[in-house]
Parts: sequence; structure tokens; C-alpha cells
Amino acid sequence: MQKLIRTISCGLLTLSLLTPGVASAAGGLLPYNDINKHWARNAIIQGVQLGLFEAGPNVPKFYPNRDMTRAEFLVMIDRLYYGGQYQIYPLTFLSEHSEWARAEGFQEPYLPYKDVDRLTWMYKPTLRISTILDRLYGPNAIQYIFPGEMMKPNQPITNEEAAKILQMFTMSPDSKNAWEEVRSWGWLEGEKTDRVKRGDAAVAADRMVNYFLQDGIMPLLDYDGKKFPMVPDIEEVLPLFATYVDPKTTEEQIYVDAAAAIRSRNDSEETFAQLRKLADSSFPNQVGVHYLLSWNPETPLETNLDEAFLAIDAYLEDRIILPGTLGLLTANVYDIALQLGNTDQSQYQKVLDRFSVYEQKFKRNPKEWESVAVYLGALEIRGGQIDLALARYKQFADRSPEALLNTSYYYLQEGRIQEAEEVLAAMKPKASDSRMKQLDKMLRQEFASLKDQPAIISDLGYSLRQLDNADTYQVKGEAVLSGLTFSYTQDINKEKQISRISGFYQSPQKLISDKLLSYTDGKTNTQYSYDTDRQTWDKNRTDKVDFLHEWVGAVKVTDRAKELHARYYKQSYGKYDVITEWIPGSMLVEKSNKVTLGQGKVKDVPLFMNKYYIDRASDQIVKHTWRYEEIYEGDGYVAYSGTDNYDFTSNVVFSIPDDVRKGVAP
Amino acid sequence: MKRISQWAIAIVLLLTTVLPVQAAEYPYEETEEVFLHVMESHLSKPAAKQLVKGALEVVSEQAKLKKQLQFEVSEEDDTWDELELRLAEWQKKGGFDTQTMNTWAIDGMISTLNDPHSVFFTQDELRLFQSDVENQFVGFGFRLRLQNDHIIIREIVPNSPAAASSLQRGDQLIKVNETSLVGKTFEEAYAYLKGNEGTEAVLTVYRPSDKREHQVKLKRAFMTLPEAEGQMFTKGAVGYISLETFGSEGAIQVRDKLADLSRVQKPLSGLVLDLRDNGGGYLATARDIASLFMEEGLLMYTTNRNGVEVETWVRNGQDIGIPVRILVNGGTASASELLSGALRDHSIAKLVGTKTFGKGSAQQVIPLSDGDALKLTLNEYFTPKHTVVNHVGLQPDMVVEDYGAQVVEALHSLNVRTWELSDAEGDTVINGIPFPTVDPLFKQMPQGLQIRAAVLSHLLGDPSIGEKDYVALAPYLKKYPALKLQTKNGVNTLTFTS
Repeated sequence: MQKLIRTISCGLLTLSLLTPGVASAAGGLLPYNDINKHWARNAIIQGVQLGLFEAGPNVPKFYPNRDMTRAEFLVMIDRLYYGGQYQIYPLTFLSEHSEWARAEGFQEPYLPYKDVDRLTWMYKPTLRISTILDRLYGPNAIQYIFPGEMMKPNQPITNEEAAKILQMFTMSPDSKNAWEEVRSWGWLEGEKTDRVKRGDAAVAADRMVNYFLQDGIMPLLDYDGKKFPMVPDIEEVLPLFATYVDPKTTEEQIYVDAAAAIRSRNDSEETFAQLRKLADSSFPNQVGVHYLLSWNPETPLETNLDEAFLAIDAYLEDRIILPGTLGLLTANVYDIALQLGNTDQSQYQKVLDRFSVYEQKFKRNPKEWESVAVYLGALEIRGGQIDLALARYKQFADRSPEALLNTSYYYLQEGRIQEAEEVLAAMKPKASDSRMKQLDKMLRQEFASLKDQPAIISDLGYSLRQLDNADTYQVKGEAVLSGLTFSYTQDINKEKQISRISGFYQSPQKLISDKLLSYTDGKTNTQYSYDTDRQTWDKNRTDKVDFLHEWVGAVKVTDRAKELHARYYKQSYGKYDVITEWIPGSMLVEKSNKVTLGQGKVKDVPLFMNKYYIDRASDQIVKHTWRYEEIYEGDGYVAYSGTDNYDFTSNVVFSIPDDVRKGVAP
Repeated sequence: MKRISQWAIAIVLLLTTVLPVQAAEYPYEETEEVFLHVMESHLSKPAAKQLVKGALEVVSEQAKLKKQLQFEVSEEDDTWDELELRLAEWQKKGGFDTQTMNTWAIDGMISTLNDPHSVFFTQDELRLFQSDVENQFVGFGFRLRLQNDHIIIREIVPNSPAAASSLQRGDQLIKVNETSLVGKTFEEAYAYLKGNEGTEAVLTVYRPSDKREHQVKLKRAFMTLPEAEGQMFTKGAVGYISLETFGSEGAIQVRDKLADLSRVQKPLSGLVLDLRDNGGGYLATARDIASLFMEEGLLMYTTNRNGVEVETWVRNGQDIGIPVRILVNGGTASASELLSGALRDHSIAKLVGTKTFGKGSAQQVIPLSDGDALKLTLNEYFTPKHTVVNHVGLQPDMVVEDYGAQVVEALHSLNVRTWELSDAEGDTVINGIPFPTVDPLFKQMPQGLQIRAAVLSHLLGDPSIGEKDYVALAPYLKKYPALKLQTKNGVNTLTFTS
């Protein structure tokens, strides 16, 4: 059985990419010869370590007092994005850099400028940032930062321009306040019109890296259903619980070797047999021995759970207060309980009952109690006792980020937003506690957005109805469906209830693309699609709903919010309002099971997100981006993502040819 | 609204799907892979019967040739299964090894495609093909020319073993180790010179300047030659860039050459881009190079056997802003034709030279399971004006046959008015740039100095001279006062102002 605890700590891997190395930055050689006395020195060194700035024998100087150019700033932000992309994933839906890999013939993105050429160092970074901005804020969003057909890449960048870029890392609701917002995060200082010095930029990057290391935007958004209940990240999953120096005793050596074996996944039956001997001996580190024994993949989970408790017993016996260690030991119990509870829900209560004896003992020290309570609350939630958990978490919500997040999240789940806000209002995070401070700010923003839900739902509903009521329009889109890439144009005539799709698609198993051509007749609920291999027109019914996303597509926005618990967020940028929609998978599974889908019952929905781009002047939807993952019973898996661009002005004239209706091959 | 989901029903992935395990040691796996790829993707949409027949015919021929066996190719055999059975049967009867059978069958199938660009590569051939595109070679680092039956070192590659030795441009190659090259053809000489990286040879050369033989010992090395070269013509503000191949560095090198030229001479009044004998390379490089000439525009249309037509656009480029002449000839193929066609259709460049090769198809190299590969034609392309290139070639705007005269004509059309032409080591030097012409510019005959007719004709803009061989120079020196001949240390230099 794979330890869950390992996967829990995986989140840390991505963060550690941003954590500066242990390399002695302060002492020894500096990366540049002109920063020694500069106030931004440490930020610059950190930037070099993170790969934000080029250094080396060919780059002797940093020029911290020079103005940073627009292009330089964009390159820095592009590099920073590698580390910060997870932070804004809920708003971009961009996974890694998958968006750059495109099949042949698909439109490559390009820049709306005449003075940034393909074959220059600044081109790819600028294009990447432009693509991310497009995704976040709508077509040609970069024009809102640098308007016109010239980007003037070598011109110094101002605070305000920089802020409009940096704002992508916040959940900023309105681009008009970009500068105020970025200043309030403390990333840049001075006046709107000030030029950003290269040293300032390094400092901004340094501050943003710290920001990325904290909780992400929309801390209460659980779009994949895996975030809550929240427990702390664990940095070192397999510590030794003691320090050993050479020369080691035979027993110490056995213990250290066993821990190393488990850490490198080279453990065997022998590893655990040796540990068992230590457990029966007078070896002092019984905490560690029992902890390691609980990792035995060969023994039943119940036995591992016993070992996990024995480790806590040993901790109590040691009579030394180490809340960190106790937290890990409890995490271990929690981890095993999760595995047990996977198959039998009642196990959560059993583990809780068993733990209650211990909890009394830890009440003596608040730090110890908190490190335990954070897991006990999570177990209560898993066991369905939300009220108990809330009462528990409220007690230390002002000190523990996890307690605060769990309190807020489960109050919201219960529809008790006011109580959630009261908890937050009572908080007074210390200035030195950057995580709590950031969380406080993020949560306040999020509560504001939650109150805004009805207005957003009404806006989106209005624009979607407009789309429904349009007589004719054209959609140009690109999509990836279970590995197949599609590029298509869809002509729609609502009045005649007909539509046509033409384009091409490419299978990952094939070297060449295939034609895509189909007509749909809404009156007869028939779709005629052309099969190039067989050169025939196939008829399909369209009144049958095969996939979950088809079913959801037909659900009205108000019902999506009410019945499916969809969350909405609106951002205004330039001329567009962008509404992002997340629908929790658990609700989709529950509600979709009441209808019959062609693909069968939905088993799991890891992701279901939409983004609608609305032209503020006309209230028309100009673009729609989506990302769905659906798993059906029988393990059918559909991953579907794409972007549609709507054009209401194009002249859509077509009819369904008689030959097509008759199935005559062309 | 139902959209593309219809297509998805067939391809809903199963999380539990396990790929079928390929039976071990399946003898005709490679043949089958090629069969499937060709059937599924080749531009010509061949029928199974055609491939099966092609494969069996070659095996039958070879069996007759090698072992005098009579294998009848049956009209009935038209599926993969039948081919497989027949191969097994014939292999047993003929006692051939499996690899031989595969090679014959694959050759047979590909030969039916009537497509010289679909090729089966062994691992070594694949490596050779790739280094060719990247302008990479193993050798000593010089280029040769055959002149008056002498094999002469025409050029020494910088940073090569030859450059580090005492070899000089103009040396005549006499011996490789103990093998004499005197009277040998170019191909024979090449065969003696080539060898694996790290191997050594002793070369004997004759140096006309000191009338002595020299010996050097050289080690063959792996070299990457520049894809692009460039310099300014000494008269007029015209730049010259030649591109040998569209490898992965091609675009960057052309970019840098252009930048160099613009730095030396501002502003440039024109550019000559030499794509003669450039057999092509990567499409991406062609597109990047096009972006150095145009801000934005259609590069080409591509079609495949399914009737899908896609457009490839150049975006975020830069208009070059000066007239461009592209030199083309029968060796200008593929990506070179693509670039030439696009720049011409957008009125950025005019083509000077002879009709291009006519390779308007695109191939992909498909790795096969055991390290070999198949280069297969998947697409045909057309220029932005839908001009067909395949099997047709591009007709130049200015048709000029002679290699040197092509340069002269290009410069003429760029309004170059002052000229200086001479011979150097067999090259024809035109306004300071040497071109490796096959025939020298001048020929000393008993009745006087003669000059390449075509070069003189295009230089003077006098079609009455004709384009054939050599004509006596003297009458034209008289007729055109601006045409002057200087002879210094045996070097003839012709100057002209038009």
C-alpha cells in the first residue's frame, strides 16, 4: 500500500523549485561586480539562484540602477511564471507548458506588434506572457498594457505597466486598479509613473517568490475536490527523530540504515525484521522505530496503525515537548486512517475514539494540542462531524492557517458565510507572520467575491441567453479531446435550426490529419458526419446526451450555481469581463447520476472548469475556454479542453445539401 | 449543441486499457511497420495490392538473381496477411535471412510509390541524412574542384584539420596515402578521401606557386559547417548571402549575416540570396528565414491525402525593405523552393537562374521499432498563389543558364552599374565575391583572350553576344569604351561602368 503521506508532501516539490539553494549567497563570490553595496543585493543574488537573471563570465555587471526595459521585464516575468504558474492555475487552466505543443497546421499564437520579431531573444518570453494574458483576460490582452502596433521593447517600463503584468499573479478583479493593487501587495514602490529600476525589479521578483510560497489565490476554491480538509504540508516525511554522530553503535547503524532503505524505497522484509528487533530491545529511539515499523507495506493496515500509536506512546514516554514531531506522528495516524477509511467510513470514528485518550494528555500544552487537533478535525470532517470539527478549528483559527482555512471552508459549505466572516474579522495576524497576513488578505478578497456570486451569475446568464438568441453566428475553435486535436469552424443558423462544422482533426496515433465535416439538423435531431476513410455520410441522433459536459452545457447558469454548487469569479480587464466557472466534481457525480448518459454513469470528475470572455460594450460572449475531465463507470476516460471564438458579424449562409441528407458520397 | 463529441465516442480512452504485447521475434515486423505507415499516410493513398505486389516482385527478382529461383508473383496476393505468408514461404525455400527479406520487401513496396523522396533509412543512413541537413561532415575540412583534370583544393574550412595544417587553397591533390589521384574522377577521389572520424591519411599535394610537392598527415574530424555565408559586393551597396541547407541553425545564421551586412553598409540597396544547389531542410527554418524578409504573410498551403488543406503563416517578421534577388537552379529544391516561391508571390524577391528542382512535397522521418527509419512523403505544398511546385519547379523571372552570368544578371537588375570581374583559382570573382564556376571566366587562346559569352552578354546587356561558350574579348573592348581589361601578374581583370 502506497503511503498517502508521500503524496501529501508532493506539493512541496514544486515549491522547493523556488526555494533558494543552500549555497552561500551572502558570502564568497558575488554573481556581478556592481552589486556589493547595492540595497537590492540579496534580491539580485536570489534572482540569479532562481534563474531569473543571467550571470556568468560574460555578464559581469547587473546595472541595478539602470531602468529596466519592457522586454527585460517580460523575460523576467516569464521565468518567474515557471515557479508561480500553480498559483494561478485555477484562473489559467494552463498545465505546465502544454499550450505550446501544437499539432501541425494549428494556429500558432503571435504578437500584435511590429517591433518584436520572431528571431530575437525577447520573442518567446514575450509571446508566452501574451498567451497567458490572453487566457486570463481575453483576446489581445497585452494591448491593454502596451497599446498600439509597436511594443517599444527597449523603452523603460513604468510602475503602472509592470503592475498590469504582475497583476496576473493576484486574483485581481479589476485592471483599473492594477497599480494600487500591486502596491498593496508591496511588490513595487513609488509612484505610478516611476520607471522600474533593474534593482527594483529584482526586489519585486524576490517578494513575489515569497508570495508564491504561501497559499495560492482563492484559498477556498477546491476545484478538484482534493484540497479539503486541509492539513499542514510535511517537509521531512522520514526524519530520524534523533541525531546520530560517528562512530555509531551497531543498533544505531541498523536504525539509520533501515530509515535510509525506506526513504529510498529499497526496504525489504529484512529491513522491518531488524526494526522489530530494535523495538524489542532497549534502543532509546522507540519513537523512530515504531514510526518506521508503521511503514511496513507487508503488514495489515491495522498493524501499521498500532505501530503509529506506539510511536506516540513512545513520544509521551520521552516527556519532551516537540510539537513538530508530534504533528508528524499524528499525520502518520491520519494517513493510515485515510487508507482504512477508503474502504470503511466507520474507521474514522474508531481512530478518533482511540485518539481521544491521547488528546487529553496534550491539552497541557497548546502547541502540542494544535499540532494534533489539526488532524483530528480533519478526521471528524471525513467522518461527517462537521460541527465538531468547526468547534475545534475555531479555537486556533487565528494562529493556524489550516485551521483558518478549514473553518472558513466548512462554514461556507454549511451556508454560514457570516460566521466565517466573523472568524476572519476577529483575526489579528502578526506583521511578522507573512503567511497568515497573506491568507487574511486573500480570504477577504474571496469573501467579497462570494457575495458577488448572484450578480456574476446574472451577468453570465444574460450573455449566454444572448448567444442562444442570436440568429446566426460563427465559431472558430480549437480543442483537444482525449488526445485528438481539432481545429474547426462552426456555422450556426438558429432560425433554421441548422449548423455546420468544418475543419480537421489529428489523432495522436496518426501522422496526418483528417477532414472534419458535419451538418446538424435541429428539427430532426440528426447529425450527418463525413467519414473520410469510408467516404460516407454517417447519421447520428443529437437528442441523446452522451457525455457529462453535454448535459452540463444544457443546464442554466442559475441551476448550475444552485444545484451543482458552481463557483464563479469575475475579472474585468481592458474591454472584457472574464467569468471563470468551477463546478465541483462530487456534485456533478451526484446529480448526473439522475440522468442517463450515453457513456454510462459518471464515476469521477477530476476537473470541470469554464471561462467566458464577455465584451463589456455589447455583453456578447466573444470567447469560451474549457477544461473537463470525466471518468465513467467501466473506466472510460474523457479529457476535453479547448477554446471557441465567437463571431456574430460574419455572414453565415449555408444549407444542408440534399446529397448529405440522402447519404450520397461526394 | 452537439459538436465534435461525435468523433470522440469512438476514442474514449480506457484507463484500464493495456496495450497488447507484441509477439517476440516477429520476423517481418519492420516490413509490416513500413506497410502500415505507407498505407495510412503516404500522399498517393496507395492500395494494399500495389504494395504487396511491389514487395513480392522485388523478392522474386532478387531470388532469381541470387539463387536462380523462380517465384511467381500471384495476382491473388493483395493483403498484408498474404504477403506475410508468401514471404515466409519464399524465405524458407530460398534460405534467405530475415533481414534480407525485410530489406527486399521494403524496397519493393517503396519503389511502387514512384516517389524518390520516400526512403527507407538504416540507422547509419539516417545519421548521414541528418548530418547532411545540418551541414555536418566527417573529413579533413577542404572542398575540391576538378579543373583541367587536376583535383584542386578550392576552399579550406575554418577550424578544420586542414586549416590547422600547411595545406593551401589552390594546392593540387596528387595522392591519398599511396593511392594516386591523377586522372581520377571526382567521385573516385571522394571515395579515397572519405573515412571514419579519427582516422588518418597522408596527403600529397603539388603547390604551383613553389612548384614543389608537399606532404601532410591529417586526421579526419567531425565538423559543422556554417549553413549561411555572406559578404558585401565591393561595388554598389548590395549584400550577398548564400545558404547551403535549411538546418536548425540556418535562420539564426541568415539573421546574423543580414545584421552584419547592414552594419558594414547602411543602407543596403539590395540583396542577393543564393539558394543554388540548396536541397532544402526543415520547414521551420524556411519559415523563420521568411520572417527576416516579411512582416506577415502566407508562406504556403499544405495538403494531405485526406484533402485537408492548411495554411502556414509567417508572423512577427520584419519587412526587408530592399529589393531581393534569389539565385536558383535545378538543385534548388524543397524548402528552398518554398522560400523562393513565397517571397516571389509576395513581391519581395525575383528569381534569377534556371528552373528549380520541383520538389513540392514534405516528408517526415518516422522512427521504426529497431532504430531504422522511414522518410515518408505526407504532404504536398503550394505557394501562396497556389502555384504547383511538385514535379514542375519554379520558372525564374529572369532565366539565365550560366552560373556566373546568373550573378551578373541579378546585380544588373539591382541597378549595379560598376563592375570588376576576374578569375582566381578557377573561381569567377564578381565584384569581390568568388563564385565556384565550372568553367573559368577567361580562356587564353592563340588568337587572343576569350571570355565566357554568357557573362559578357549579361554584363553588357548585349544579347547579340549569345550565351554559348567563349567569345573573343578584343572586339568588345573596342566596341564598349567603358569596358576595360587590366592584366597584372597574369591575372586578368575586367572592369565596366554602365
